[in-house]
Amino acid sequence: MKTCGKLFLSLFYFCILASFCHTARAGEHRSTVHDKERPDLVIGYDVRVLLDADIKDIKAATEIWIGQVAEKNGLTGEIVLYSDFDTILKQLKDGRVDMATTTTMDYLHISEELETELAYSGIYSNQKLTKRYLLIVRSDTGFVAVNDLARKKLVFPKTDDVALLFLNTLLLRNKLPEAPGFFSSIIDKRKFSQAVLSVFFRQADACIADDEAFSIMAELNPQIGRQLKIIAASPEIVGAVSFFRKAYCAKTKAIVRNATVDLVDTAEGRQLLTMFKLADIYPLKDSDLDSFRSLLNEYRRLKGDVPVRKHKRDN
Amino acid sequence: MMVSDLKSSSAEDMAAPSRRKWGGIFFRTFLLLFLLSLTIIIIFSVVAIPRQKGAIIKSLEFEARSVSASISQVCGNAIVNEDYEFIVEHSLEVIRNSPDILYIVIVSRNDFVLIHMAGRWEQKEKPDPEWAAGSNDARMGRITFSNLVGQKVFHYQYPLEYSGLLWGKMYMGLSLEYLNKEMRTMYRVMSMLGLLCLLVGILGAYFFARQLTRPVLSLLHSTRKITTGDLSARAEISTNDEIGALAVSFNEMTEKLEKTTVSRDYVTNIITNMNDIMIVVSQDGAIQMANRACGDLLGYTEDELLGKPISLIFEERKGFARELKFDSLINRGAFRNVEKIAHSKTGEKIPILLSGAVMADDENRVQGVICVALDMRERLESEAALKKSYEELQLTQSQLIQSAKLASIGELASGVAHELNQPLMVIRGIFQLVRRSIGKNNLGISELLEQLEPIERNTKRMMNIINHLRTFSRQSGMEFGPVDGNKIIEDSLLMIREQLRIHDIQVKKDPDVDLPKIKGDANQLEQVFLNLITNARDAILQRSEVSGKKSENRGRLEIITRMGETDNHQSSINGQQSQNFAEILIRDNGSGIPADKVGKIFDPFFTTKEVGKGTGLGLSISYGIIKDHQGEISVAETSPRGTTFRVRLPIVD
Repeated sequence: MKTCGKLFLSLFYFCILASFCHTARAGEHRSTVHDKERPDLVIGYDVRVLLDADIKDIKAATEIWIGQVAEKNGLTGEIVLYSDFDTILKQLKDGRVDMATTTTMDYLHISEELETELAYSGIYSNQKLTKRYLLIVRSDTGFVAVNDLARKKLVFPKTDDVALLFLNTLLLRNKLPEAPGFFSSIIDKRKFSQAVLSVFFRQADACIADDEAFSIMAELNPQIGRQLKIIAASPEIVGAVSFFRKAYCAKTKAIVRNATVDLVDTAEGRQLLTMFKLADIYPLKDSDLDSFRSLLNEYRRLKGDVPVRKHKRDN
Repeated sequence: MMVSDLKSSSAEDMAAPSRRKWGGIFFRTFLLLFLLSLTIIIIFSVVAIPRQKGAIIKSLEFEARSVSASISQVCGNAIVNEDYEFIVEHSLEVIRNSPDILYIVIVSRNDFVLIHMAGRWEQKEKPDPEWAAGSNDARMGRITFSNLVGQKVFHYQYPLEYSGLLWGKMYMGLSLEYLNKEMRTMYRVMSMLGLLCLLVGILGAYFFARQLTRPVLSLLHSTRKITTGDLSARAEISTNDEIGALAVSFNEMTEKLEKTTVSRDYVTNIITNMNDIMIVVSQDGAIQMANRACGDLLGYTEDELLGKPISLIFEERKGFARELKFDSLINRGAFRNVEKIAHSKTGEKIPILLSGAVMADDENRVQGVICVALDMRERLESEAALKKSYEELQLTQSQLIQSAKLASIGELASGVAHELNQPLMVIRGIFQLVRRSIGKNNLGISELLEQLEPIERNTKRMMNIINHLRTFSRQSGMEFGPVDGNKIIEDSLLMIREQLRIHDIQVKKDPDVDLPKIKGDANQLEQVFLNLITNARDAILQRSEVSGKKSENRGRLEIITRMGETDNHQSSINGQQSQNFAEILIRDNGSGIPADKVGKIFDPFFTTKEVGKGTGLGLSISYGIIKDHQGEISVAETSPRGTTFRVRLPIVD
C-alpha cells in the first residue's frame, strides 16, 4: 500500500542521501550564520507528509546508506522533524534549515514569505508525478454529486491539507458551505485506504482518497471498484515537494541535484528507490505546481482571499 | 597299502574353501550386519520421518495458533465494533509480513465473511460451506486442499472470542511450502544420513566380519599349509576369545601332529628305504603291506602282493602258515631269525632270515603280524668265504706256529745239546769209573749197581728232554683241556734253563701251588711262555751288552703264577661278569721296551731286535694263541730297568 506520506518520506531521504554522496568539500558550503558545530546540510521535514509510514524503518535503512556515502565524501548532515508550518517557516527564515520537504500547499505559503528554490518530487510507481484527490461514495447509495452529501458522514485523513482544500473548493464551487458546516460529521482516518474501507463497510457515507490509494484498494478487492464510485475529482497536482533556501550554497545545491539524478543509475540507488516504492526522482520546475496553484487560487478566489503568486525565479 | 600312499593329499579339499566363498562366515556375517544396519536405518526412517513430519505440522499449528491468537487479540475490539476496515487492514498486513500465510478468513457470527489473501481480499455476506461458522469452535488444523488458493494448505480453525462470547471464527491457511521444504530437507538429510549410516554399516560390517573371520581364515590358512605338508604352520592368533582358545588348541594339535607325522614319516622312510624285507600279514594270512625291498627282492609288483596269501612267497607254506597261526603266535609273541626259503616271482629260491612279531592295537587286539626278512644269499656266500678264509688262516697260523716252534727249537738247540751233554758227561764219567774199577777188580756187584744208578737217572733225564723236545716240535691241532700252568712253565724252562744258566741269568720262580687248572692247549701255551722267556733273556743280554758290565747287575728272570679276578669296574667296561683266571707274570731286568713301541710289539713282523736275531712273529703268534684261549697278554710294565709281561688265562670251572 502506498501513501503520500511514504512518498514524501522517501523523497526526503533521497535528498539526504544525494547530498551526502556528492558533497565532497563540505567545509566550503557551511553557512556563515551558524556556529561551527552546525552540520554541512540541515534538512527539515514535515512529519505530516509521513502519514502512516514507519519512520524508524526508513530512518535505519537510510542511515546505513548515508554512513557509506558520508565516509566516502566526509560530509555531515542532520535531519530536523517538524509538525507545524510556523516552526519550519521560522527555521528556514533563520537559516537553520537548508532544505525542506513539505506539502505543496505549505511550500506555496513558504515561498510567499521566503525566497526558495524547488528541488525534487518523487515519481510514483505508476510513473506519475502528480495525483488526484477523489470524492468517493457507495454506488448503492444513489449519491451522484457532492450536493447529495449534505448532513452525511465524511471520512478522510485530516492531516492532509490538500484533501481538505480540494473538498472545500468543491463545496464552494457548488455554493455550499465548507466541509465542517456541510457534513454531519467528519471522521479522521490515518490513511486514505482506511477512509475507502469505511465507505465500503458503510461506516461512512463518503470519503476523500487519492487516486493511487483508491486504485490500490480496488486492485486488492475488486468489490471496492464495483461497489464504490467517484463523484468528484481534483486536477492532477503535485502533493509534496523538496526545496532549498534560495540563499543556500549554490555548489552544494548542485551537488545534491546531481546526486539525486544519478541515484537511479546505480544499483544501490535503485535498491533504495525500491525500498521506498518509488520509480524515480523528478527535478521539479515551478510550472509543475501550476495545477495546484490554480486549485489554491480558486479556493482563495471563492473564499475572497488573495491569489497565490507564481515563483519569480521559475517564471 | 603301499607306504607311498601315506603321503597322499587331497587337492579337492584345498579347493573347497574357495568354492564356499559366498557361503562363508565372512559373507554371512557381513550380510547379517549389513541387513541389520539396513533394518535399523529403515526402522529409524519409518519412525523418525512421520514424527518429524508431525513435529513440523505441530510447528505449523503452533504458528497458526499464535498468529490467530494475535489477530484475535488485536482485532477483538474491531470485530465487536464491526470495524472491518481495521480487520482488513490488519489481516492484509499480517499476510504481507508472513508469506507463509496464504489466507485469513474471518467469519462473524452473523455469517459476515472477510476473505484475505496475498494481494487481494473480498467480503461476502454469506459464507461458503467451508467457512460456515457452525458450532464446532475447536482450535484445530489439518492439511487439506483449499479451493481458495488452489493448493494443499495447512487449514487452521480458530474461534474468535471476546469477553467470553464467541463472535465468529477465523480460518487460516498456511503454506505447506515450509513443510514440504522441511520434508524435502529431512528426506535429503535422512537419505544422506541413511547412506552415511549404510556406508558406516557396510564398512563396520566389513571390518567386523573381517575381524571375526581373520582368525578363522588364519586357521584355515594354517590348515591348508598343514594339508600341503607344512607341519610347521601355526595359527598366528592372539585373541583371548573362543577363537583364540581354538587357535591354541589347534597349535597344540598341530605340534603333536608334527611330532607324530615326523615320526611317522621317519618310520615310513625307514620302512621304504630299508634293505631288508618287511611284510605285514593280516590275521587271515593275507599280505597287507610290503615294502619296496620286498618287491625288489621277489620281483612282485605292489598289486601282485597286496591281499595275496603269504603262502605265495614262502616255500614251506603249510609249515609257515602254521607258524603264523595267531593263537599260538600271540602266546609266543614273536619268532626270531628263522631261516626260510622265499619263492620269487621267477621261481628262484631265496634263503632268508625271517623274524616276526604280533602287531596289536592299544586294546591288545591282534592286527596282524609284522615280518622282517633278511636276504641271506650274500650273507651265506660271505660266511662260506669267511669260513674258507678262516680255515686257510688257521692252516697258515698252524704252520706259522710250527715254524716258530722249529725256530725256537733251532734257537734252543745249543742249549738242548748242552742239556743233553751234561748227563752224557755224567754217564761217560761213570763209565770210565766203572771201567777203572773193573780193571782193578775191586768192584763188587752192589758197588757196581750203586755206581750205575746215576746212569739210569741221567738217561731218564735225557729221555725226558728228548721226549719233550719231540712233543714240543710236533705239529698238532689245538687241543683244549685242563692243563697245569705251573707245569707248563717248568716245561718251558726245561729247554732253556741251561741257556739261562750259561748267561748267568738267575731264574726265580714263585708259583702258586694251588693254581687251578687252565683251560687250554699245553703245547701252544708252552710256546707262548718259551717265547716270553726267550725275549726276557734277549732283553737281559741286550742290557748287558749295552752296559758292558755283566757282573754289575746280574740277569734276573722272575716267573710268578697266581690266581686273579677281574674287578667289577673292568667287567662292566667289557660287558662281562667278573670271573677268576690264572695270571702268569714274567718279569726281567732287561733293557725294557721304548714307550713309543709298546703299542706295536704284538704287530706281526715287528721286532726291536737286531736284524737277523728275530722274525718279529713271536709275540704276534703268542698274542693269537692267548686270544684263542680267551685270555689276555699285555705289557704290565716296562722301563729301562726291565719289563713285566702279564698273561691271563681262564681257569677250568
